Amino acid sequence: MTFSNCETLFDDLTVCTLSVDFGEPKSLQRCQQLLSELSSALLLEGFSELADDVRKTVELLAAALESNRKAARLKAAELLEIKLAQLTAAFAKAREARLLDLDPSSLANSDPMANAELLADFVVNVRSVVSDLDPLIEAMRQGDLNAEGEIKRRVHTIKGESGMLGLPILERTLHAAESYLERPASAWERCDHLLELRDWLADRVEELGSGRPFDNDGAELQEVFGGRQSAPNVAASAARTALPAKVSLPATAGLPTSLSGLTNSVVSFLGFPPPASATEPVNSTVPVPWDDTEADLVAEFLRESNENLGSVDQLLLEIEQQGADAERVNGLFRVFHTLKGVATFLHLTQITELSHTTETMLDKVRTGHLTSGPGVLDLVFDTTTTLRKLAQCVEKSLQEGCPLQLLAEVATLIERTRAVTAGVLPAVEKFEAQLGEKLGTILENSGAVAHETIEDCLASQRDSGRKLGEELMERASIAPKVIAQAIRAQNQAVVTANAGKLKEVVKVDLERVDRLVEAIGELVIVESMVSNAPEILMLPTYLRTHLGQFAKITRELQELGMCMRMVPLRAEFQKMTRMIRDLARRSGKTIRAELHGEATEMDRSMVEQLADPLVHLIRNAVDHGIETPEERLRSGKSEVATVTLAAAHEGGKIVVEISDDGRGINRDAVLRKAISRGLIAEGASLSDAEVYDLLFMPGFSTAEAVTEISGRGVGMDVVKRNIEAIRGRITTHSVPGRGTTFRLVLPLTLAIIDGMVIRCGTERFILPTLSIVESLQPTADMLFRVTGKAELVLVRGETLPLVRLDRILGVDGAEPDPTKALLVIVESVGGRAAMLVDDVVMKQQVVIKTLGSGIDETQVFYAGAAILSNGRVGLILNVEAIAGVALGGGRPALEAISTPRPVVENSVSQLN
Amino acid sequence: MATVGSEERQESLNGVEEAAHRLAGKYMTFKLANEEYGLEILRVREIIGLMDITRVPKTRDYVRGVINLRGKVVTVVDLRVKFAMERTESTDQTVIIVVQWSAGNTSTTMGILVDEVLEVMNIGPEQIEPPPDLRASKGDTDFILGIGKAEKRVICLLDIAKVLSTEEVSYVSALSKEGTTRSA
Repeated sequence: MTFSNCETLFDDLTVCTLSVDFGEPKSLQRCQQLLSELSSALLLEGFSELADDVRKTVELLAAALESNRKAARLKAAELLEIKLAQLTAAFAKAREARLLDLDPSSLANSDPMANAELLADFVVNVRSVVSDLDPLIEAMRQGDLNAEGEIKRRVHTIKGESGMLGLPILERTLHAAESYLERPASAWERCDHLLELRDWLADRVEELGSGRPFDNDGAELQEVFGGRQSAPNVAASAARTALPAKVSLPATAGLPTSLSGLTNSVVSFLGFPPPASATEPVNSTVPVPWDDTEADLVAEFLRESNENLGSVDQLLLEIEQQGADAERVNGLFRVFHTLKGVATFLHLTQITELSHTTETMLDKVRTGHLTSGPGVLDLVFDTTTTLRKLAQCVEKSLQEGCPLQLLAEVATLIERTRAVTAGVLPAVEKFEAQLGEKLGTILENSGAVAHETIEDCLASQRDSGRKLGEELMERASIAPKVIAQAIRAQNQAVVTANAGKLKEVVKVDLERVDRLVEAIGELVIVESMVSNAPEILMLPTYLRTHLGQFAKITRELQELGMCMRMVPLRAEFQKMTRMIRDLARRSGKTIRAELHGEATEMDRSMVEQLADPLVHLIRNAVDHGIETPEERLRSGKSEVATVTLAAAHEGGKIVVEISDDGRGINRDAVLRKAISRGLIAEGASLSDAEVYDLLFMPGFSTAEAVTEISGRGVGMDVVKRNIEAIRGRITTHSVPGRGTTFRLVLPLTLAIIDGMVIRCGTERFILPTLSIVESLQPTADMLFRVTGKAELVLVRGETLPLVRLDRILGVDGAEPDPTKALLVIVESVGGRAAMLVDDVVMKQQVVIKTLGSGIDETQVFYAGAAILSNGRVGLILNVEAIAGVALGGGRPALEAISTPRPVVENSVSQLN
Repeated sequence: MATVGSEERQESLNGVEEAAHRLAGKYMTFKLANEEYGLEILRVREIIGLMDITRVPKTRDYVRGVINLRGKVVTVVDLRVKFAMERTESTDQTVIIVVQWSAGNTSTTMGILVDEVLEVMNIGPEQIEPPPDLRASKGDTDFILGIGKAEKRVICLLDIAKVLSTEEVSYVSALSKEGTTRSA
């Protein structure tokens, strides 16, 4: 822990020195305090030499503080700068060395048990980070700055943790990634690299979780991210040599804060004048304050400050829209700090003063002494405007060699800033806005911008893809402040509307949730047992009222319990969009991924189970369903293909659809293939659904089958099996030339199913309602016998095999005559079947439980057990296995789907 | 007959004594067709009267069915059938002993149907003999911890986890007869 503690302290110190005001004893005191903390932390960690060094520095600082002489304090501050640079470098070195020889102290010294626990926690954390990364990266690609920040934070956290656990490979790679993220790059490139990182991390964490050694040291990735950075070393030397004017914006933003901080402080140290108390009342001029040798530096400064001020506007708008987080405020602070430093060096007094006062104000915001309310932001906007003007003056003077003009407004601005810094909040100019009103409308209503200008900007916005605010700033040169105020008004309207809608989230162990849900399930059953007991009727009314209340709360609990396991499909869908993009790129097709209803919630474990089938179905759609762009153009379709993922609730079930607008399934090719493999008889007439079902048969999807038929079938048996494992069903719909849709019908949750209690002889069983099509009492003319053995039922023109449940399960006392019993038509992989039962007793929601241990593990007739409302255990029938007996000659389920039905159909017609 | 005093026995005498010490402790004894058996007390979770058992068709014959034990589905094994003894009607003495054991990370709970629960008794190391060699009668004695002797009673101490997870243990009755004859 101390290890990362040191790191944090170093960070804090750097920030502290960055903002240290050398005339102020207080800021030095803060440094001093941090240093002593650092000293003890380092000592704890075993870096005794470093700790000693730090301690000495503290003493020196203390001495400097005691002396009242400003010069001495400045001297001490200078020393602090140098010392810190050295320390940072030394610490980085020591840390690296320690990481490289893996674990001299961090692992060996600590308790192995505690470490195993930490490691397990770490694995869990990284896994969740990995799964969170996908949507975050996607959001970042779309320009969400919050997502970017979030990614950085996540990467930073696990980097810290891996350092703590002594996993140098992870730490180095993540460190490289972190530095990479600090550098500017195109969003696309970034996202691609981040995705690589995500995959790499996922592999490593699995290796870590299973205790295997890493089989990749991340070297390639580190290369991708630009190798290991040794910024602190650079900082140490740069601080002493760099010319102040060379501090450019990329350096400030890109390198760790220590570098810019050091440089700037040195700059300030070189020539920081005390803030002028009085400024010139009117615009006046002063002689050009720089000599010829410095002219280049001034030009450089102008260019930079222009960039810097631009970034200030950007930051301010972001703060306006997304709130003032520490990162952004620090960003603002840094800009003014740099500006101040360089301006001081170049003797641009007005710029220096203005930057200085603004910086002081921002420092108060940063430390939390001042809230970054509208007043503050407006002031900063005004400051940037004035600073721009000042820069223009400088430019003019530089180009024309005339004296430098001074602006009168600087003084008032400084006054205002000081007032705000002191806590006097200025009146804020306001825009009126209604909820849902567009930014343009707000601006227009306020009269700040003409209607035409907004129209114009909206038009060009379509091409540039920028936000309207940016566009207005760029094209119509509307003051950023005005836009910020409009945005504020817009946000205010939303905030007012959303008041109290903030959500808080806690992470809970999944096992606990499962236990809770299970317990609730029990409660529901016991409650219904109590409520349905006949004795209840004899209870006095008030007790029965209580009981009613009890029942109501129980149902509420049940609903809550069900919700707890629900997660939206969004993350899973987003993973799929990524896959579609990857696959499309690889196969040279242009594919657009469309998502619908990704907010649909599903049982968490179901979402996991759904991942594999989705992968297979999408791979199929992209690889085989969608044609090449040329082919598409030839058939008159748009070059860009679409793969749609949609999810929706439908009558207590969840429907997930994967559709493409490709070539569709070639029905004849599938039939030919099936006939050639002897799966169906020649000339058999199959319904479309039956033909498509053939695709899901194992082995049907061999390579040559893929090329011969339109290419459907890779991994389709896996799809079917997985979907059935979560008690779902899959149906296929395809129009040649138009595309294919796979429709997955899934239950809401895995833990609870709708069941139909049936009676068969002396026994009662539960049939999942999902697999029941209908139930009916057959008449004698519906029954047939084929070759004296197989019994068939003709239901609405469809011949179904008759399944005698009592014979299959060996139950006594069942009614042998179908016309006196009941037929339940069930749907299974192999097709439909008519199950002969004595009676359908009731419908009941049941909590699925595994059948106790000791029951023949090889038996397949039961899908599980459940507690019935009378407290007895009921067995849930496995429809697949039971129907499979009739459909596939005793072999249950999938292998048995050689669909004898069409053949049988033929023989029936011969009989008739 | 399993003659005591074979060379093997001599060599492993120390081991036998050690085992006897290890096995000494409290056992719950129950009756099954006039024979006495013992279960390590720590394996016994509870004893419940005979309740409604849901039959599970098409499973092993010694599985009597499943019960709802406070919301948990627990399999009940008819120990008579498991030991290939004659099946009899249940009496008011018939009970289900719920046993629980863990192997690795998984804990298993099962019920065993026995004729009558007798008592919880302390069996000292001197009362425990190693399981008899039943190879002559084609028996495997893996699931027998040892033979406990107390006041002319012979108690076959069962490793219930092995009994319930082994497929074929029907020769146990052969063993118990053996034990009885030996003690007689």
